[in-house]
Amino acid sequence: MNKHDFYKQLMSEYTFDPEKIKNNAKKGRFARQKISPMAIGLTTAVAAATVVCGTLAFSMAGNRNGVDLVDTGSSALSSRTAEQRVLDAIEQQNKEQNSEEIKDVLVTFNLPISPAQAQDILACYADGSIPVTAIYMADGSRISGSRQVEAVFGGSEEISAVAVQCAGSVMSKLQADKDIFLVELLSESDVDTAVPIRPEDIETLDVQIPEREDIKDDTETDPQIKDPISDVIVIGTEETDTTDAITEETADIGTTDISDTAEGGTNETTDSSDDTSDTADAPDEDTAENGETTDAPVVPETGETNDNNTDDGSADAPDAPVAAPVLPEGITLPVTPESYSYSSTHLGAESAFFLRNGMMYLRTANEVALYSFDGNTMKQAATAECTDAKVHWVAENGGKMIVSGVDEYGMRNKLLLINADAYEIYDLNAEDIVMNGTLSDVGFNAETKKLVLSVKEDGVYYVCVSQVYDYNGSAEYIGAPFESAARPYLLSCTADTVYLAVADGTLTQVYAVNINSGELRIIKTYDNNPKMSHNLAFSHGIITPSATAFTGNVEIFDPAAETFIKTNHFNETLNFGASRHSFSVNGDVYNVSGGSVTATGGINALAPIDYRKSFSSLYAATADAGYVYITESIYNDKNRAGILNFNSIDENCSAEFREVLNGAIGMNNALALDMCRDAGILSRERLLECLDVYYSKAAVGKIMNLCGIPDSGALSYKAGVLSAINADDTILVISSTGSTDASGTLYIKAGSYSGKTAYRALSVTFAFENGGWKLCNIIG
Amino acid sequence: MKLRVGKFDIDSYFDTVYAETFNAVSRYVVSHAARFQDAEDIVQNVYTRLYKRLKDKGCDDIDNAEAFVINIAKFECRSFFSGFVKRRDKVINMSEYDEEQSSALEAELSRDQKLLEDVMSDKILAKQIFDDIMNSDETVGKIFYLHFVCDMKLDEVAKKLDLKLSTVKTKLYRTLEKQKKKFGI
Repeated sequence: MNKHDFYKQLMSEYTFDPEKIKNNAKKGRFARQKISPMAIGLTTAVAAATVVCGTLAFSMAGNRNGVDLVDTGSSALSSRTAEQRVLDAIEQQNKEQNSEEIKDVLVTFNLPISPAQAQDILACYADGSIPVTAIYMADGSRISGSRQVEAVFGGSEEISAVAVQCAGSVMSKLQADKDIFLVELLSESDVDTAVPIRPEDIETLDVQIPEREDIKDDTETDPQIKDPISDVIVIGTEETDTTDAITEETADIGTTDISDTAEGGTNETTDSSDDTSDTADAPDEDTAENGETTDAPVVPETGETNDNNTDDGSADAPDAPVAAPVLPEGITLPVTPESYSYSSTHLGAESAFFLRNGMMYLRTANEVALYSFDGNTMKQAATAECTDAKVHWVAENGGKMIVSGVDEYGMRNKLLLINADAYEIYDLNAEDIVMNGTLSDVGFNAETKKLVLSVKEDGVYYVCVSQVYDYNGSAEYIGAPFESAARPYLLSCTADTVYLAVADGTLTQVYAVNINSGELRIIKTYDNNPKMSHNLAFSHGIITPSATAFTGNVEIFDPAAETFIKTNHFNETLNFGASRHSFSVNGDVYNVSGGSVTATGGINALAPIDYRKSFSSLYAATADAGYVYITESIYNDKNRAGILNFNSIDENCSAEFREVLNGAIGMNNALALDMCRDAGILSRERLLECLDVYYSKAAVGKIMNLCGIPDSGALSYKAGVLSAINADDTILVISSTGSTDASGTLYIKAGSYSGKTAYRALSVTFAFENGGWKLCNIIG
Repeated sequence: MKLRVGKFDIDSYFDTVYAETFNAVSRYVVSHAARFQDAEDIVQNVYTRLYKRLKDKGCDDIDNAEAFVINIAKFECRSFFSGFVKRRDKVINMSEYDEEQSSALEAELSRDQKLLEDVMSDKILAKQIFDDIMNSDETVGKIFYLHFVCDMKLDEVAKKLDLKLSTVKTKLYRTLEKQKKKFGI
């Protein structure tokens, strides 16, 4: 044997064990799981099954207890019915409300949720930590033991409940969370035997929440309390439940036009008119429902209080009838409230926008992060190092995005999937594909979940394709179907084809490349060096005449039919934003469909284009000089549900109508912003007095219902069910006036879209009652 | 190679592909893996992924099995313990062998030595010699594998590994000399 043969045999025998490899392959054994989610941020600090908790402030909406519902007894959970357990749980929460003693508690979620979501929920309700002692999986199994629990929190299997140890006072806070169904005390005997109940196990629960202690006396005689299972049970703090129930019974412009005209379009005005009719036609019913005695308006004494009307817009009301009720002395209504604003501490923010309600994306020079925002507090939920982050994809409906970043050598080779829905940031491990190269382009198509990377390495461009799964950071490399010495410009992709363009200096060829085989087809050739690009959604290519061209049209490549659609634009920028098929240009919005471009409209089409301020219906964020500034979102539900008027409008109403409108807005705002007491309205009677000054009887009844204002005499109502309006942002156009009624349209400024100011229109009617004009609609 | 196979033919199809592609895949992996010591794990993953794919989707759409498997190998090489930093930091700083020295070493490689058969049959010693190669510079194992197992000429190896021919020769010959002294072969 010579040395050559010796080394040949040595290296053959010891480098690989072919039989072992073959057998392992058939058993599905990988040497290493390459791509795994990277959980970052607060919730990953889970160690030894302890959920480290943040400092989110939480306040109970009110005292919703005080009534002994049942004999809680001490029997094991497993021996009690679901209904009994609910009742017991509520009673336990009441008793433990001020207790700092550590208890074993079973927390059952409304629906099975991911471990990450569970951690996030639990982390919101304690200053220290909540040790998790057991986990109840969605499949019915129970996991206990710190190591096993920790393993579950590191996985993705859904959880239906958790057993935790927390202060007794935390129970009611947990119960208030919208994602939690029930919070129960666990006795020693329950620890190993209890099984969580499900919402569907409860047959009859009608939820009602008394809001204040002073209501208690009234409710003690309520027969509901004596038979809690069949009628009323105090549970949780789901104020919206009560609100919804009331809303269903109430027809008014302010609420039904939101829920009933989700499609927007022309229905909004029609529905508003219908609602107005309903409102006008139903005063007697409403009055009867609310009880004559308590709803009868208390007309204040006239005379010396006349001058103390609203602080805005009421001075010019000389024509008000003498007999009309006036605002009581000492009342100052918030007619022009300051708009909401919030500013953060200095975070080094370079860019920020909401990816969904309550969760914003924030970019600094070296990091990307997710921050939760509850209206009062910004809190970091996840963060990842990412220098010079560049956005490559944003889901059309928000919630997720992909950004790239550069490494310490200045090479752009990092790709992060930011999932605001999961509160996590995942590394897509692009470095494994990019290796020594650098990313020159990235396209992700959400329909096919194909991630296409153009990588430059050693002077050669490779187009690599991966399949993304479930937005949890997992991706599988498919192949590199295309390589070229000239730079390829990605245009779009379908399930099996990547479309790209390559320019050789004289010609620009557009290719269709089969992802699996690498087979090429030339589908178009340009000889004028156009600029090739794609939209963020990677659903369309955009071909723009070169900077030196004198003529031409911007073309949109539609992969569905492999067509190139000529637009009427030459060198304007088509702004798709995060939209897959709609774009704006020069303030107009168009839709690409069926091989053609058609004009479209409405803010629902505009919202994904304007994605940096549209994914939250509540707030919009901007970054300036390192700070984040948060204001109200113009893409709120009301604006989305309505048709917006972009034309200039002139007010034509008399001072009398304007005064009534301003007063009604002031009352609306006092309720919406929970400012009644600040305004000087200290009792239910005084509230009714004030409402009667500006609203018709029917409308007052509806407001009472909508805001849950009880008949008991105490001033109690639900703030936030109405929306505040700034009177300065309204224009009232009266279209018809009679002796007893008048009607018209109220335009409410709805923000600026593509540089144009929009107004949301509401049909309004006024009725002449008690010697003066009264608004018949709820406008907030 | 395109075979129409049913559910129960996966194993035989896999075995055929495995036998026909193993050398090409191992050569590719050794050439492209960031570290030679990862090569076996990478090859393992390539074939595990292939088998899983066959199980999930069959092989109807696989026209060229070798190309398909190499494509998987490409991904695995890129994914497995990314060699980005290591490759970037790679420094070659060895003195070159002149033509005369090279010829002498090549001649020695071809000379029969009965001792080598005994060494090969001594599994412990053989493994020590192999491990010595593995523990050398990360490209040495690749050079040995490509040159001796895959019968690639040194200039082909150099091209494959994106190294200078002189560097390949230097690494190969220096390791041979080192082993001669260390193990007496």
